[in-house]
Amino acid sequence: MDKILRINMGAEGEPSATITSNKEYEGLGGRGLTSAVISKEVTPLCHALGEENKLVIAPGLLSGSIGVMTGRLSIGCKSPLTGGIKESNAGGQAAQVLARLGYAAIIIEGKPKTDDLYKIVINKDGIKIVPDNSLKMLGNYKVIEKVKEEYGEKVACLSIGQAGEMKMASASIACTDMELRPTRHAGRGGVGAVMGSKGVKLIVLDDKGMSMRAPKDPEKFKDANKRFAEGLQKHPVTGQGLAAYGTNVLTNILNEAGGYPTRNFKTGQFEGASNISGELMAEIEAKRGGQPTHGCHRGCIIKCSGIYVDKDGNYISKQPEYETVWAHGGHCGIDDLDKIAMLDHLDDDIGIDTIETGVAIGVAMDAGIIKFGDADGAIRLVKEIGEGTPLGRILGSGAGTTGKVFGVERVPVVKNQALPAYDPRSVKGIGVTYATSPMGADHTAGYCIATNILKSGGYVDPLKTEGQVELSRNLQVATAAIDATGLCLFIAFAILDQPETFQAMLDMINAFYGLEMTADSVVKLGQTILSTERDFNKRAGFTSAQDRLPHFFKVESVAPHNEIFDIKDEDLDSVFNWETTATTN
Amino acid sequence: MPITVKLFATLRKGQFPESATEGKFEHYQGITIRQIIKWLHITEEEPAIIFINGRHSDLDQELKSGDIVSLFPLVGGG
Repeated sequence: MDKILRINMGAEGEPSATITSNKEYEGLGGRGLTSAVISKEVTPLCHALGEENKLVIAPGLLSGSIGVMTGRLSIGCKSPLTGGIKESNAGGQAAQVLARLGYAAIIIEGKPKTDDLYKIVINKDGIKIVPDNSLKMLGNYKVIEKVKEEYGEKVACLSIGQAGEMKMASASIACTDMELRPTRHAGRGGVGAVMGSKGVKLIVLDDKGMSMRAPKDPEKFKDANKRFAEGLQKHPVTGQGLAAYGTNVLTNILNEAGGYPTRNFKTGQFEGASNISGELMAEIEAKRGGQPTHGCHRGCIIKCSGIYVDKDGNYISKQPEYETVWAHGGHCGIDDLDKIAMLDHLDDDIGIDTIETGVAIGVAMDAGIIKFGDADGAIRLVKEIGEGTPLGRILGSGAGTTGKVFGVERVPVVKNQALPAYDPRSVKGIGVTYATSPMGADHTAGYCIATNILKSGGYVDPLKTEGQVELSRNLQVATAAIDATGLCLFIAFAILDQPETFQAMLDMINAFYGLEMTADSVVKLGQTILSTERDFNKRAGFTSAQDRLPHFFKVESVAPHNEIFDIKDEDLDSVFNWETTATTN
Repeated sequence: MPITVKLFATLRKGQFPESATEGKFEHYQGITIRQIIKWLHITEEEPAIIFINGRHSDLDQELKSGDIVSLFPLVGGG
């Protein structure tokens, strides 16, 4: 990974590709690399869909190695949804393949002068950028069918659906999984719209003839990787729980905890929760001949995903994630798993973020566009997004825009990005993360649910204000660092509880790069990434006023605990306290 | 009012009549969760997450009429 591939879609005559050494961003990977490039090279006040924005696609530091769980990909840009910096993180095969091809990043710059649509093919022999207008307005599944015909099944793809081409703020970038299905998405923040604005429909990555990336110290790396894998396998969450029930095991637990936002954040419990639970989903998949257990990339040993099939055993979608089941389910008052799986399939095909889309539909339901609980109506609305009807374009612009257009007061967004599946009034730690993450409302940015609800990494009472700022700070810092490694964030359940597994992870990085990183250097790395991102946002016009939850969370209490979000503004402003300490010193 | 006990994920296996996910316990005011899980042949280590009426609790909490107890093994997701 000592090369950077720069593709200028706006070059004179035709798009050009330049391969440079990675001197400038040496030692950075994943989110660390994407955020460094965006912060340094992108004008913060530029238009996110303009030629000055850049799309940075980077595997993590350990991607492409024999290390387990190393297949996460970071995609960065200035977000058309939030107007701030974005790193959207995805599984699938692309990170491993891109890393093996030797690229620390692909940076797509400029903007074509024509409305031609391009595909980019990258293999050991080089880079081809070719116009292919036959792909215009195809969904991701059809795009991948065409890829199979032309390039076979041993490639990895990044692609956008109709939403990306129409430059919608909820558009995602699809990454193919091990079976070449476009089911793993860099979903959040409209990264697909930025790819669309560059005229790029498809990137085909082929690592034929390339080998695994070699560590500096292969023996040490092998040993550390073995200890790391054993640690993951022995922890109940990463070893058994996630494989058996998938991420959707959380539906029942959040519902029991009274933190399950229902019908656009009106209550904290959904009477239909058991009908869409992870337990039931796993049972249905096993009974119908789907798969309750499936990994999204080679080298994954947690295998939190699955394959969801219809009553006749025909494939509908990958197992919808908890966030998706919530956004299209409880948030919209829908309790039908088959319909939710269909919505998941449509989202993947059209190329839209399942969270942003589901939340936007729930907001539209609150406005009376369709009724809460109307699953067929929700399917129709998602189809309209793909067709680009005026209503579809409104919904595809995200929950914030939808709320404005229809005059809704209760619009659950921070920095214009929709809140995920945990009510910040009954799980206060996650409210701190939603409010302050430079990404906008994002559960993965500092997953306080682990400690507030799941008792992983200790316990902080979700209903109290004490300890939440510190919890969110520590998790945001740790997450930024993990997002730089290419490791799946789910390893956190094991490394939070088992110090020896955390050490094994450090040993992997150190053996691979010949470094001597300690727990302190991990903290430093995470802090540096967050400060880089916050600095970009500041230059893009963000102030502490953007580090707040929507006002209704402060004044409307939510059942069953009848709590409001009561963490003080000045406490929210102390999340990134190392920045002020650095200034005073 | 009976006490309702709900079991989730792996704790469900072999419990209550098939496909039921919760059991009602009449006239057991004042007992603890520790006693209830003993009847259900669940070990004390298994329920890592215990809610009474949606609030985290522990094995020794005494139950009162109408309480809802939710028991989960250690799970994660997101």
